[in-house]
Amino acid sequence: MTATAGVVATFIARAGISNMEAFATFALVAMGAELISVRLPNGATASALMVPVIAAVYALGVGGTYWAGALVAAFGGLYLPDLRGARFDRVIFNSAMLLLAGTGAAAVFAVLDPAAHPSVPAFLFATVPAGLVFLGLNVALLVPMLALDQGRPAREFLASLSPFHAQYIPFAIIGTGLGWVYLVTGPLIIPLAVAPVLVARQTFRSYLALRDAHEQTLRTLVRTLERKDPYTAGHVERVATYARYIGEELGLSEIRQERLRYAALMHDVGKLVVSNHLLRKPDRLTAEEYERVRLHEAVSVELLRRIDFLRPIATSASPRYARYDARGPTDPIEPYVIVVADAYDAMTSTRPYRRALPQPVAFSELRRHAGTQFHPACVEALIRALDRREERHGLGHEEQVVVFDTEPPVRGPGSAGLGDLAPNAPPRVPERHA
Amino acid sequence: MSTTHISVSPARRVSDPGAPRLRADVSLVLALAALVAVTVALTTTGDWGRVAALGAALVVGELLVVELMDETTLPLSLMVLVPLVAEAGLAPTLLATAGATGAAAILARHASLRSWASTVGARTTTAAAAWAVFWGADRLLRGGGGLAASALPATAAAASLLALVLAERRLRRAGSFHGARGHGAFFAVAASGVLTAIGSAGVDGRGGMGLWALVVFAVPALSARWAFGRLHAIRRTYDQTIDVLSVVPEMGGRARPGHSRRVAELCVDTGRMLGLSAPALEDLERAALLHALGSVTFDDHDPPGTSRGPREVAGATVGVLADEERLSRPAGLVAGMAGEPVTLTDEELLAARVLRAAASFEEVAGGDPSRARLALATTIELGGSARPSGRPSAQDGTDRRVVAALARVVTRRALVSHRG
Repeated sequence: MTATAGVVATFIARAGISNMEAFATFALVAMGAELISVRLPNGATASALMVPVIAAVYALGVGGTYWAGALVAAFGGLYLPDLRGARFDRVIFNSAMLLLAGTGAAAVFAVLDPAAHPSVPAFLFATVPAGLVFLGLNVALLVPMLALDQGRPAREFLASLSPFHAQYIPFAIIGTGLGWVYLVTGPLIIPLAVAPVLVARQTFRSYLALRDAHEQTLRTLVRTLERKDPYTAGHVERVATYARYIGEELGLSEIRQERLRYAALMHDVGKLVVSNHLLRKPDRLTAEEYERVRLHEAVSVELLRRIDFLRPIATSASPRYARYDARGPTDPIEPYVIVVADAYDAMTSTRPYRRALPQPVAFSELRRHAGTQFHPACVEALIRALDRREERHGLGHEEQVVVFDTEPPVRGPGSAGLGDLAPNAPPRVPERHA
Repeated sequence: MSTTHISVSPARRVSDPGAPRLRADVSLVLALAALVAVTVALTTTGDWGRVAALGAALVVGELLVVELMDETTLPLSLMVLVPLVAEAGLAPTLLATAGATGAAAILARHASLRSWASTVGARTTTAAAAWAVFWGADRLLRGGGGLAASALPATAAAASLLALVLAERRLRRAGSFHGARGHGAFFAVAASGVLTAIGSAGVDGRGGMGLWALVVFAVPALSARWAFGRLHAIRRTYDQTIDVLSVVPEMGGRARPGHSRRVAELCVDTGRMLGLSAPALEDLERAALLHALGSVTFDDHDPPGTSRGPREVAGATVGVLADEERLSRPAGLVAGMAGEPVTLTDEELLAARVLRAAASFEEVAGGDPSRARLALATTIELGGSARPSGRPSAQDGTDRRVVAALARVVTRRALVSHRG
């Protein structure tokens, strides 16, 4: 790749750079853009490099050659900390990769040639595909390298990068605007054009930091729950995973998936007010104890309602409220998703009062109560998602084996969930664990 | 065990806002935008089509607001003001601004006529200030003659943007606007406005892209709005999550009602007195709200409140904090409070001490002003006993400073409540 980039660079240098001042300005901006790039959780960086590259392709292309702009992209690889740390292999890789990506963008401009009949729509028409090509080449060259470097499948990187892709197209448009006003006013305009991008970058960084802090708070909640009730270790996170599977099958949007995840991680928050000995009790609960344990669902719903983002789906925390046959016409589907995920995990995990059920039994129980207790679409979505992934849970497939003080019965009281733990309760399906 | 004091009611169904209302809103906005546009166009002598479009953009900009961290908002219409003052005269600018702000205020369902009138008044004043500075700067620069032609509009526009920001800030209530974070948004929106003004008219009639400038340079402002929106949303969710977790120990009978909230308020007041920065105060407040969470893991035979000191409670909380290599800042403060070996900056160390002192105080005072004196005495004693093996250290000075500040906060509150 480096060799190809070298050939391309030579070719561009021979073609000549018409406007040396513009070239130098945008090259500096490119270096600056990389210097202030934001590190994403997956190790890649998000930067505004697209702005100077597109601006340069445009500004140098008018009365010169678009290809010179591609050379500006290579300056993005001159990352100062890498230079200072003498990590020249990275500098060379990044410069070469960015040069090739920039060449792709320049190629789009060369084909469409908006400078032939200069007008803003003509330039915008070239900008968007050029930005996409730049981005596509950048990702296509970077992801395999990241995957090799960190020994993880490329798919993971692509999946975690995707939400951040959308913001690059605005960068391309800003680049065009910057190129245009640069030709009119000269380098004086650069600070003014860079300012909004800097502000957006700072804000985005704060956003990432807060999101991280929020994630930690949720993990703290999960850990507290597990400290109180060690027998349900991993439960909350598994429910979040199953809920994600169902959400994906149902084609929920990114923001609804995020809400679903938060609700899944928080659905048991009310358990924190239940005393430890009740949560860990291996015997049949008395009627009064049973009511006290069940109260946690109402508490959870009440607490979830206090979070604006989760309020529309606060009933996620209670299978009593989120019964399919009692649903309203405008109810969102998320609470039903979580109830199905929750019931499935309750059935396929070993609890103090009974062993895990085999997966086929859990599936048939879910199907048997689809349409009354459970949302049929959610049930089928979960089964489909698990089958496709060939995931097996339940008896014989449990990930975490908990050591119990008294060995849980294979079947018996509570073999069908908490409902049976109440005295004189009619046999019923697992509605919920304790 | 007193299980909980919240009432259990059947779930109220919450539905998403319906599409019909949205459609009505959109048509209303478009109608108003057209109305403002036509009015402005008819009262101006310049390129009326362009000015009309700017008037319409003003209405849309009034409705597209950047949500700032302090719950105030910044409308993107400020961005349209700069090109508008550059192209139209004073009268059309004022008319358009008043019309657009008024229309948008109606749409945004302002609570009272008074708040409606104050919004319209504030924005119109801002527009007038921007206009005055723009034309003043333009005349001055042209008369001086020293500047390059290309620098003229940029400088004039920049001056008008400065006036705009200053005017808008003055018109806001003092104290409701927290420095640095809001400045960024103002700057992004106003800089986009200057770019629009230059891009739209060009320099000396050369290189103007006309109304396309509005489309192209709205992009950075909209990106900033998007970023601020995401930030605002996650911040609210994060803070509300912490609020929820802060009441759990109380609901489980592990802390007195209102304990975490009172500690948080004491922490913020004391921290402010000690000169902690705004972000540090935010982290301190969150840490205070979270510090007692670990108490819910205690076994039931423990009587609530009395037998466990704040440090032990914080220790239990540290036990459930995510054991990442890198703790979030509030988590780090709780760890610091519990005396865990964590690396803290000087400011964080001070915040952790404030948290420890406030929690000790609240543990004894329990929200009862008559116990404040006893609680302070206990807190001072605790500060002394925290000293390792009687050796004097830099910590002593800090702890004395913290306790002194706490005492001042408590005394001031007592005075206020007596007077009240």
